[in-house]
Amino acid sequence: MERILESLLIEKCRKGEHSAFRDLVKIYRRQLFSYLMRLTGDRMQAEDAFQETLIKVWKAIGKYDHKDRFSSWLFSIAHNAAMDSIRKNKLRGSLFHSDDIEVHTSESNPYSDVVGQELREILDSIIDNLPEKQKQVFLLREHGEMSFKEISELTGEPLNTVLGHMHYAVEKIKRVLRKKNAI
Amino acid sequence: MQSKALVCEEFEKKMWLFMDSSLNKEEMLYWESHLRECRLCSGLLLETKEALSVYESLPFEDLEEETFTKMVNKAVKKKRAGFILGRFLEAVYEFLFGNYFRKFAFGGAAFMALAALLLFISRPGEREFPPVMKKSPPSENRSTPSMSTNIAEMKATVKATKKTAPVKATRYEWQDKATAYNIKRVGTSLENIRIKEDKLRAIDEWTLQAIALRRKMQLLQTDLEKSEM
Repeated sequence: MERILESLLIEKCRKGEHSAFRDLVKIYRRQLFSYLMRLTGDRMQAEDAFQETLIKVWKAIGKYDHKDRFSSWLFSIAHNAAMDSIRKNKLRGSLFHSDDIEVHTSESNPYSDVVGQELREILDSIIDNLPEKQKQVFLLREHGEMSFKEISELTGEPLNTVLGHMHYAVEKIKRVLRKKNAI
Repeated sequence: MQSKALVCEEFEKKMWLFMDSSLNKEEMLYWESHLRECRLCSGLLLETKEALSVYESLPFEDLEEETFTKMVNKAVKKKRAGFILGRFLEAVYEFLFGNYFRKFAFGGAAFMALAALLLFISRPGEREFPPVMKKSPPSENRSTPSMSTNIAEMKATVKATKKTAPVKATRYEWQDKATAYNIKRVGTSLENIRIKEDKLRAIDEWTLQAIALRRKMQLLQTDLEKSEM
């Protein structure tokens, strides 16, 4: 059902309907912004990358191939936009401070109340401190719901390397969660 | 037959593809049956899934509604300018390569325009054009050509040029202009030569007068010497 709605919205976007574009992006808004936040580690940078992604998606919606999943296509554009932003930021020499993060939760999650702010912060810091490639693979998998094959194509790394990155990233998360008795 | 440890090690490698359902049917069935038997591997899979579900349960960062609306509007606006240009180019393309009728219509119009342009550029005009000046054949008496005769010859040529019956010529205007410019240049050169000639003549006269005076002086001197004697 969601797929059909998505296809309809894409078709309307191709005809230049702005409202359809808004609805289409809204489906993935939280997933996408959260991904960009975690990848860049900075709200401003994430917002810039998000804006860039929207511009690119709106421009290229006519070229989107229905054979690919829209979410994968969207996240690959977002990934490239974020990587550009990170590269530019590195050049500017700005540093990320975890204090800068503001968390905006649009709906209350019952589980998050139980797990608590502490666990959230810990996981945020683990992800933030992951090596660049591991972080990319983990976030693309978790937020973009991309298959490992798609991630391999996007990052240009062999499939086994991508699997290795995912394995090490998850192992680090598991280690911390075990210590906190969260798993 | 592989040992159990090796099979479990293999599963650890393939676990992500198994979770992704990216393995082929046979492999999926094989690992499913292995998971039913092996507590170690099923435990590993369960723990991994739990860790991921903890992560997934964390609240998502989100954009404020207002910011999101602004961003969408900006993205859409950015395309608008490009969109109009794109549509225009699309129309041109359609016009050029659309259907045959349009193609021929455009071809015809383009041909007519080109022909009109060529006609405008190469419009033949009936203009009077002086004959091209030719070099005079080398005269046999060239050993001592006097300047005055040369100048006289050139003047005569220019006069002849002016008097010669007009030749009907179909030349471009720029060629006419070039010829007129050349004629003017020849005229100026002739004028310069004439001035130089006058100067030389004056010098000649002065020289002759000086020679005459010197002779007179010599004669007077001889007369004086004779009278003294």
